Amino acid sequence: MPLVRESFLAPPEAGILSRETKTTNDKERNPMEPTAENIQQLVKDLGNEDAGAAYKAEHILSTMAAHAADPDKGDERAAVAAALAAELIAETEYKDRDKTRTRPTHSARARRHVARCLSLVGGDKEVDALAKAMEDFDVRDMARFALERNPTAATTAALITAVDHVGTDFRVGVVNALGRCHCEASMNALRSLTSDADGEVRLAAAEALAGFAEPTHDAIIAGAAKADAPRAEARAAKARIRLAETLRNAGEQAAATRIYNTMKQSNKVAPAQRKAAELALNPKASNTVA
Amino acid sequence: MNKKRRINRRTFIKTAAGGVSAALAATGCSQSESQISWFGNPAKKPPSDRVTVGVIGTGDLAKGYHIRSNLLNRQADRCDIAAVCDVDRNHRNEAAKSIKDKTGRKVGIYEDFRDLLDRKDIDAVFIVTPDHWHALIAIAAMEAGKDVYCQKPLTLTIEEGRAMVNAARRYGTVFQTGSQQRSDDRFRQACELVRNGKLGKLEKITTHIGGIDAGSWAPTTAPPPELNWDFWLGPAPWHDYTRDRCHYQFRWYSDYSGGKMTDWGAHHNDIAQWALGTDESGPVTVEAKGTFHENGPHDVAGEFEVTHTYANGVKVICQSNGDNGVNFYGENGHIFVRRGKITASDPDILKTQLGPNDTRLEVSEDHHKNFFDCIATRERPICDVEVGHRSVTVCHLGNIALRLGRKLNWDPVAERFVNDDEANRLISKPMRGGWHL
Repeated sequence: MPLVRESFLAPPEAGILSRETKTTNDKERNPMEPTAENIQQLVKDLGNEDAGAAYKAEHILSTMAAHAADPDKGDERAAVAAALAAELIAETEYKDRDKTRTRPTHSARARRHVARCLSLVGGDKEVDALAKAMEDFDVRDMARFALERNPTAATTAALITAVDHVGTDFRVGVVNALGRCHCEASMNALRSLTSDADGEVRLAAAEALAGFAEPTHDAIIAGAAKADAPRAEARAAKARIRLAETLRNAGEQAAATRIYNTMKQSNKVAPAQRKAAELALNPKASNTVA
Repeated sequence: MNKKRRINRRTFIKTAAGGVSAALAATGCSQSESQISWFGNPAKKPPSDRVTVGVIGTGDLAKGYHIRSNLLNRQADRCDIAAVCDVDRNHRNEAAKSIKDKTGRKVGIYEDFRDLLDRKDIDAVFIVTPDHWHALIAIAAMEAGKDVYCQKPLTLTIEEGRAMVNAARRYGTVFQTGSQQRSDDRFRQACELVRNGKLGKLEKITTHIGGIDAGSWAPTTAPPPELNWDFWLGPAPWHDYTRDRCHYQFRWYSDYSGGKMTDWGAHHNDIAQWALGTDESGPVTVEAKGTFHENGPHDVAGEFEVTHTYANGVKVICQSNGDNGVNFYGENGHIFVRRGKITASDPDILKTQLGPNDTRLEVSEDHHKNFFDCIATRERPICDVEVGHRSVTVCHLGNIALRLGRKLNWDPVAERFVNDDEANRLISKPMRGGWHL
């Protein structure tokens, strides 16, 4: 078996893939080149009913995005990201009786893959497109994925807006993404969400607050134990242990110790969390020795 | 190694102590004698030393290797299986039946691992699910106070591994990674010889783990009625069901696993790490070349060669070709080792006796036994979670380098790529449906 096909070692512009993806128009154009025109065609090909043909386009786009995701290729990355974002929200007009309406140009499957590629190369300029995609039920999860991988101020703002969309699972996903933003805006948003009408959202927000080194979050998380969600009490206790660790790692030893002592002494807390508190207070008693 | 022996067997001792003492007093038998001959059977360990286990993920690997060969056979005197869990009703029912046929005991049967973990009687769990579920279930198990044996490859992403290590330390968990080659004499011998310079200065290690074909396209269909497909996907992005995406074949789809790189790399790159003594570290650069199947459906690397360079200059070259196994090349000789075989450029190398000042690696006769031994002593097992995390990280680095198509610089202390925000995006994967680490 040959070790490596040389085609992969060459940059996309010169690869063997160009032989397999020739389009019928303009034989001079290299379809592997990361241009807006090629990206548009590839995204269109993603909608091919033949799974293998659609996958081929997927593979080329993924490779293009991966190769553009390079600190030394800022311009190429920006161009690829912009082209992908344009296709993500591209719309086509159609007639509905006497009205002109619009609908997405590309299929949901195609747009999900575009969002996946944007998770590698998307920057702040693509946030608006991804935010718009989060309004589409069929694409919103992958759009959220793409934003989660690029936690910036612009991303945080888009996620804060998206958290009001419908659907518990999606909203909890957005809450989790906000937890990874680690900025004041996301923290404030999460604090507000601990009063949300949806018990799962309240609990997820409380859990996310465990990642911020703020002693006041202990009371908020403890309050989330009353949320109307399965295993709420246990989840809140686990989050308090995590918060204590976050505080300890941030140098807030006194605040961490207070939480550990409270947990250790409470017979309402599950044995595992009491044990974790004891271990944290007395590391030498650790029962997994090196 | 600190050999503190601290037996800490759950509620049985606490609740049964009064009854046991009274019974023993009546017979004139001491406590220690009772543990040797519980109910007059010298072979059977007393209940206080038996670990109550749950098995999460009961496909072929769990049913054959874990349940049949080990838990109901070689380690039958160390544990009782109390529960099984799988999102495929056929899998969980078959596992439960096999246990009942062998032991006469009915076990709890669950679809949702959280229900199994709620059970206070379960001491430890075996996690034998697809890779994309390992971290979530393992962390939940640790937070529920269970000890964990988790199949390799430990994780789907680097971030997951660190989260698992943190949870294990937080909860004092005994956590064994299922890299059973560390309990194999031949691999240990090879690593000891390398560590002690019996090949001279080590130049390179090559690991050979095989490649994967393109697979074949199967139509998307409704999932079979016995399979909870949404739950099988769990944190992975939604995909319409095809029979060839799950139940063993998941390995070849990057949403669930890392292909041969993690499937076999987690074994042989782990041995390389062991030989190098880098169980709390890793390489500093990684370069890769390889191919992906342009026509799918398998989207992991088909053929590849990944070079990891360590701080001491040694290269670990992980390849899809060559005889499955690990080669160690030193200036004075060469060793090849795989399951069931060890050879050297000079057979006398293998007869080398280690001296009193030589490094000895931990001896484990049996990977499952080692796990149960450590549950009793609360020591870290031979393939502790940090070891499993670091070894699979080597594999993840290879896959990331293959995907990005360029050389990467890795900081094994910070566990981040150096000056490379783009590559750092691939250290984690967002999760679907409200799941999070």
